[in-house]
Amino acid sequence: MDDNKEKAEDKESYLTDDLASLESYIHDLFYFSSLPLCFVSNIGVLLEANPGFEELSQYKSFEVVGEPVEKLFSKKMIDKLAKDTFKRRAVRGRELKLVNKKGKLIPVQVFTKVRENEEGDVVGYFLTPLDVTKMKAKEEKMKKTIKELKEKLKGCRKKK
Amino acid sequence: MEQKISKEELRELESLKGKVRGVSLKADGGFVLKEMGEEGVKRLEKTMSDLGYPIVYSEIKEMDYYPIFLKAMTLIVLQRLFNFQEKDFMEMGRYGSKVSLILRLFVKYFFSFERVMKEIPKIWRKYYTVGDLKVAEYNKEKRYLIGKLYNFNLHPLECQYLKGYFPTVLRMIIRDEMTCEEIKCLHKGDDYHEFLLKW
Repeated sequence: MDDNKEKAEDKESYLTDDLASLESYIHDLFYFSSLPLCFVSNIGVLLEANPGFEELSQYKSFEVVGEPVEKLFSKKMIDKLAKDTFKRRAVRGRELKLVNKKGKLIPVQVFTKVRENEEGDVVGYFLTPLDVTKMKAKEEKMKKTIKELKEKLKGCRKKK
Repeated sequence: MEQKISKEELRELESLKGKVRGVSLKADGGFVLKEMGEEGVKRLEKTMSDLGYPIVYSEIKEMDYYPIFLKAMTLIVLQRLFNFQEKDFMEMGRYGSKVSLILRLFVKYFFSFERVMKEIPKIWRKYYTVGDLKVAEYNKEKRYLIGKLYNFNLHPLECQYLKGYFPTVLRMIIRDEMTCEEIKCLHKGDDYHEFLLKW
C-alpha cells in the first residue's frame, strides 16, 4: 500500500516537473517572439497577446485580454476575417488596419489559423498582424515616382 | 518595525488548510508591480519576509502548489501596507483572470457557454485544492448566473478579489459587461458564498 502511494507520488512529481518544463518552454516561445501574436476566441474575444502584440498595439496584454477584438480592428473587417478563417481554416496576408491605444491606424497584414480542441470544436483562431507601415510608405513613394516618371515621359513625347 | 499581521492572526492564517496554484500568487505580485511599481513589490516582499515567509513573487512557479494562507497573507498585507480598498482587490481579481495560465488551459471549452458552465468546478480545482465552486443557476435570456462556493474559508478580502475575478472570466465567454455581487458570504454567517453575476 505504502509502496503504491510512493509510486503515485513519484509519478505526480515527474508529471509536475514535466509540466513546469513545458510551461517554461511555451512561455519562452510565446514571449520571445518579436512577431505580434494573439489568440481570439470564436465569439471574438481576445484571450492572449504576446509582447510583440503589446508593442504593436501599445496596449499591455491585461488591457486587451478579455476585450472584444473590435477594440483593435473595424468590426466589419474583423467579422469577415473570422468568418473566412473559420471557413478556410487559415487566412494569409490580408490587409487590415489596427487601431492602437493612441487611436492611430496602423496598416497591417494579418495571418490567421484556427485552433480546435481535442473534440474538433473550433475554439478560436491565432492572429498575427504584421506592421506594413514602412512597406506602405515605400509603396506610396514608388507610386508617386512612377506617376512623376509617366508625366515626364508624357511631356517628352509631347515635345517630340 | 510595525507588525502588519499580529502573531495570533498569523497563527490563525497558518492553520488554514489547502493549497493554491502559484499562478494566483504570481499574478498578485504582477498586479502590485503594475500599480505600485518595483518599490511596491519590494515592500510587499519585505513584509512577507518579516512575517517569516520570504517570497519573490516573480520567481513563483505558476503550476506549483503553495500553502493557501500565503494568498490570504498577501491580501491582508496589501490592505495594511498600501491601504488597498475593495475596488483595488476587485481590480486585482480582474488582473488575475487576464494573466492566468490556468484559464488558458480551459480555453478549449470556450466554444460553448454550457460547456464552460459544466467545467467550472474543474477550473476552480485547478487553482485551489479546497473549496467547491458550483453554478447553481443561470439564465442566458434573463442574463444572470448564480455561483455558489462551498467550504472555502480563506478571508473576506478574497471575496472582494473574486468579485473582480468571476465577472472578468464570464465576460470572456459572453462578451457583455458584467456586474458581480456577493449575496451570501461564509464570513458573514452564511453556510457558503453566493455570487450573482448579471450582464
